[in-house]
Amino acid sequence: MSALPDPSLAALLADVTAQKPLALAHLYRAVSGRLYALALGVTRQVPHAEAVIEQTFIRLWRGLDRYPDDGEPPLVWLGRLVRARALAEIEGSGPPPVDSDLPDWSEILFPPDRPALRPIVWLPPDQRRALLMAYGLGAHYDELADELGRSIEDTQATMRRALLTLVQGLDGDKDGEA
Amino acid sequence: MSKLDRDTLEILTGEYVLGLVQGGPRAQLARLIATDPVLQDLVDHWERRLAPMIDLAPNQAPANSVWTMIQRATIEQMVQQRVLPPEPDPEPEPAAAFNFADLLPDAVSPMKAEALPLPTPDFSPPPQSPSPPPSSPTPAVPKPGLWSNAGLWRGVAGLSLALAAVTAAALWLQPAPPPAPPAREPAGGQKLAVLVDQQRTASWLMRTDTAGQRLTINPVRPLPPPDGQSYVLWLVVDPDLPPVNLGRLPPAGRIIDALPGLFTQASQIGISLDSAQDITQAALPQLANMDYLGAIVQLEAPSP
Repeated sequence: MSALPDPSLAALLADVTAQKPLALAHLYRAVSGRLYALALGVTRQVPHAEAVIEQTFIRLWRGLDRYPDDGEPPLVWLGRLVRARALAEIEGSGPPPVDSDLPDWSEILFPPDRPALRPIVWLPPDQRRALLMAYGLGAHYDELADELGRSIEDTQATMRRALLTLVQGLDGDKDGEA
Repeated sequence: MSKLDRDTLEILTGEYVLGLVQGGPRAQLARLIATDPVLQDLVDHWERRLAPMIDLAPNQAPANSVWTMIQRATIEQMVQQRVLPPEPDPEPEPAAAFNFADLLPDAVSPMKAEALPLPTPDFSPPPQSPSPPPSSPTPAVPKPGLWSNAGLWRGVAGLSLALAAVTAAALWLQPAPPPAPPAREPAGGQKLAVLVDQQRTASWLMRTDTAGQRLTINPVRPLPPPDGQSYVLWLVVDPDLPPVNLGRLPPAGRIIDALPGLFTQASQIGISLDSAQDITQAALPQLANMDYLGAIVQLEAPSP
């Protein structure tokens, strides 16, 4: 992970675990908008997204989820928690219907060139688009196929090329590919 | 493992993390991941590879009710930790005739009379919490019989728990460094606030007991809310932060027995008029738009 942890967010997370109310309020103000956009994109339903955010912050407060401070940036770690919880929230319920305006992730189609995002930025545009829509908006293959104007099989092949490119480009050397 | 197998697993776990594996296959894969360290490792790598995309997420604030629910859950937990009675002692035994309390030094003895709240089982004191002083099992007059006295050891364990609880409570009451003035007294002491309306007319009086634990708020004159609206009480900890919802306020006033720890850091208290049926849906008022607002002042120094 090339991005350095944000020391203020890391400190806030430690204070939240120590049950300091002001830290919880500050943390919520700092990150709830992005985390909610992520939760709403994946669950596509306001009640589910709200439940995900509530549970995330309550679990942090109760010390059930603790930031490991192992070099992963706090916001990235929080995003992982929220996305996993959002997927679990809608598990078994099939493709979620849309009951609200989804977050505007349009800018993600032209991501800024940040070091941690570089492997994604360098993907061919169709692969990048498919990857970002799946990550940010929880798009399934049929929706990606519609978006890309291709068959589902072609879309799957596009996505799988993107995934392999990321594996090879991002950490293939450290994974020691067979 | 061949490269083909490895690539297949990489793709499969990547699709799993992205949510592209659905239904039965997803549940099947989840079961495999739960038991296979290689798959777990691949999933973890994918989560870490993809997670930086959170930096691209738009900023979309959730509804105010989300923060209210979080506050409610956390405050309820804090209050619960504070007011839960200690668990009853097990059946008294004849050996328990030894009274550990008699060994307590005077400085500790007030704890005996006080219903000292013990933390709930899941209460984790802050990591920086200093360890409670080691409790010495050595009584003033050591007697062989005393050492084997079950009551003594229960008492020692009880004292350790009590000291841990006191330490935890002290840390809990200790205010977090406020991001902005005014600085408040750490805890306790009688507090008062006169809440004025937008025309600066004194309308409500808030006061606490001398321990600063019990809050009473009453209107200074009858103040029936407009039809379809009700009063909501708010605690302002920091003008830059959202106020804390203390619940509905009946027109005749209200007594709050178990104040949240946040109260010790609050600088102002406010009241808004709201038409929400569900209190958790009450609109988060801006400070300037509070229907009634008053600064909390300390009437006397908190007891040492």
